[in-house]
Amino acid sequence: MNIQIIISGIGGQGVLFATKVLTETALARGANLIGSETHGMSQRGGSVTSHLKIGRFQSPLVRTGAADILYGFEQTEFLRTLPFIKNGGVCFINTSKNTLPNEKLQKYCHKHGIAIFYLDADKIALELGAPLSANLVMLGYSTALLQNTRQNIFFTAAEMETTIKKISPAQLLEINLKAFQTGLSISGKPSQD
Amino acid sequence: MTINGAVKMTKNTTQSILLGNEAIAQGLVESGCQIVTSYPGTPGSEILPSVVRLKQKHQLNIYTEWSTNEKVAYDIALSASYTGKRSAVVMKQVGLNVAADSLMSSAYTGVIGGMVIISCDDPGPHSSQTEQDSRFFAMFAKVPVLDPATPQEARDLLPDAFELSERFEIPVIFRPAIRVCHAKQTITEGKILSASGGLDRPALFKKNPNRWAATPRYRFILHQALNQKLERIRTEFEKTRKWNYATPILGKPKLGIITGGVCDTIVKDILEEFRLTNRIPVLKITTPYPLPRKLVNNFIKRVGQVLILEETDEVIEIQTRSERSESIIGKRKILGRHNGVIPREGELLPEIIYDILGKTLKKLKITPSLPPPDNKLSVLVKDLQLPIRRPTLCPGCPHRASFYAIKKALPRAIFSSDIGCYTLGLNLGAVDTCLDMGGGVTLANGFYQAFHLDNKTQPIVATVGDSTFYHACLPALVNAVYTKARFVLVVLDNSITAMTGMQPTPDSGILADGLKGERVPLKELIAGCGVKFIAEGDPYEMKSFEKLIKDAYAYTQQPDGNVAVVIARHTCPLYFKEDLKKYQSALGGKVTIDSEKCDGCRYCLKAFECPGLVWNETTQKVVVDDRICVDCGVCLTVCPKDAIVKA
Repeated sequence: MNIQIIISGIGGQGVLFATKVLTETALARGANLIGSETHGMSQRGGSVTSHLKIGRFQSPLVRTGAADILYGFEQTEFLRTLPFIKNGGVCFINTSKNTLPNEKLQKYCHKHGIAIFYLDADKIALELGAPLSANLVMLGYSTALLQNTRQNIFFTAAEMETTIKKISPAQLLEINLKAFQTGLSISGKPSQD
Repeated sequence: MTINGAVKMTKNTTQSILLGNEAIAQGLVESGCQIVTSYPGTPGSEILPSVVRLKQKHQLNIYTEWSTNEKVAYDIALSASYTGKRSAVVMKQVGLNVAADSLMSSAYTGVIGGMVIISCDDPGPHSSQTEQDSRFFAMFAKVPVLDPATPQEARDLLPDAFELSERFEIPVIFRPAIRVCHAKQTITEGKILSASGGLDRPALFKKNPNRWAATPRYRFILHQALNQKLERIRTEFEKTRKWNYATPILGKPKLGIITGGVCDTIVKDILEEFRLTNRIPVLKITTPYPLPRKLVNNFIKRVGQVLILEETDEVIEIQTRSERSESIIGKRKILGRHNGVIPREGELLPEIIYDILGKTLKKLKITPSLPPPDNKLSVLVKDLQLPIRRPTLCPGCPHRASFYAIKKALPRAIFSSDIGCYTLGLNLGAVDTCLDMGGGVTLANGFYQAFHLDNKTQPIVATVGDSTFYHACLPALVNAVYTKARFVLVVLDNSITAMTGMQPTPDSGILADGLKGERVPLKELIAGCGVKFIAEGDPYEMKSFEKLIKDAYAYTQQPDGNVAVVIARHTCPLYFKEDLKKYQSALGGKVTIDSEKCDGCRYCLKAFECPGLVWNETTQKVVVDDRICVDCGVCLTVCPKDAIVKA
């Protein structure tokens, strides 16, 4: 398993917790892992980008044009980190808009086989009564889609659930699992560019 | 064992995912280090708390402290090492500037127990006032420096760093860059030395005035000894294949690469990805000073040209190009910063190294080369002109209230400020200077004297945080009182070192391991510096706080006036959540905008700049973002049209 992942968003959206779910799942599989998190100076509301490389890698940073998977937990931060995605890569974005901002970008992604899946995870999380669990909705959604379309490049839903059970604080365990499973169940008709 | 990550048992070892700084803590306790001192600073702040967690978990006999500054921290670790114990001092790279006096002198006196100086560099810079390279400090002070490339290597290297320090009786600088400190990696852990009882050494101080209290005559002798030590260490580094090693050199390659630190991992990932590992040999140098010259020269002889990749400055490059090496290198060309192949500033990110490598391969006609980088997507994204998310003070931050009141009270003042969250007072136009730790007070001193020479009255307001005050402002404040520098100093006391992750200050009397020390109250300390005007107030009460600033300024202008100090007391709402709750319940409602009254003048956005107040493009009015507003209620008095109201 050689896979490079970027997760971007803003402080408070759970970028770091989502990263932890992936790193702990990789550890449980016995895969080597290295990564790095970058955030600006402020404690809250700043840009957060997490780099994660599972497999035979030595450097903690993903090169632009090299990520297999890109998670964007927020529209602007997603666009800012879009250059990390490689040709043929997959993006999952938490947004209420179901398209890229302009035709040039759409054409580029189409031409280079970059798949972009849109999901209004904020809205779903809000409906679940847990606005801060959009990160887990996104993880669930992507797990299902990757299992359906590109087996072998990602973890199974069972592996991810085991990790979520293991690392969630007791009072958040139930809602975290529910958010993940809700995401998992939306893979039917994805909105895709 | 693990610090806070998960644990996976393999046959004989334990694996866990550790942050680089946790791995460094692991390395320290595994080396039997018994004294660890530190002053917080990004990217090194997590090291000391990780040592504290390990010592509590394994009940280790280790002394840990948050010192008042890096120089203090340095000296405590140093004298502990004089007694034979292993010690470490931890800081960010600019902290070493503060401890430089001690570093330079201790290189001469040397140490007894192993002493490691962990100085965390910040190429970028991400969170520092400079990108300085601690390895240059090692050259300047004439002490060896080790440059780990990954968290695992940092942990593995530390026991050897202590061993080196002890064998040559010299302090050793350990330089992890931010991508080591803040990287996460699967780590295989080792045995804790002190837990097994192997290194619990009794403290013993052997008096030797010619060494520990050397006069200039003996200093000359110590300098001679230091130079001899360095040559012996260089010879040692020539042999250290564990840390300095080359990948196989097959045939006569046109290009070889010499790497240091994080650059090594990036280059190797690229070579592996494009199957170039067997075509382009890499010599990794983990001991950049003193440079193992023979090893480097032998590598250079076997390849055509040499690219040197290191961060942030040209430490390996300068030594490689030095006179003694020039004859051996001959006409072989060194590609690096001196000839513009590598940028002289900024972090060497993977895409930058890819670009450098691609251009070099092309120039040397090495095939297959790297595919040219496709920057089209970056250009398309750049064209979107995405808004820059500038860092701001948090919602409910008391500093925002202080700055707003200070600006209202003295709009024409020069605002000298300092290093901390409150540097972000920039956004409110209430910070004009930010130089270094303590610079808020010293620059105010200088501003006053410069205008005073011209008989000009210029209001000056300095702002510094509580932790910064203890760190570097005491001699500065004594100096101001002594020289009658008439300015207002506002100490922004939020009862914690917030920016670097909530470390306690001496005012709290809480120690690094949570135990009780002795409180050093801020107000008494300021009075002890000779300040005659000291006022305290809560910036959340903005009107009365504004008056305090005006009163303080009036005092500075009296015939017998001098520096006036206002202590702005309000706890950090991120840490003291109960305090915030009190305010929320006192307010008894949510903050909202009366959209009838809001005329879209944007005054609140510019002058108060709270992330909870946002512009609504559709209505062309301000709205409250309920997701992040903490209902502190401070903004209620800000709107000139009284549109910010309680719901």
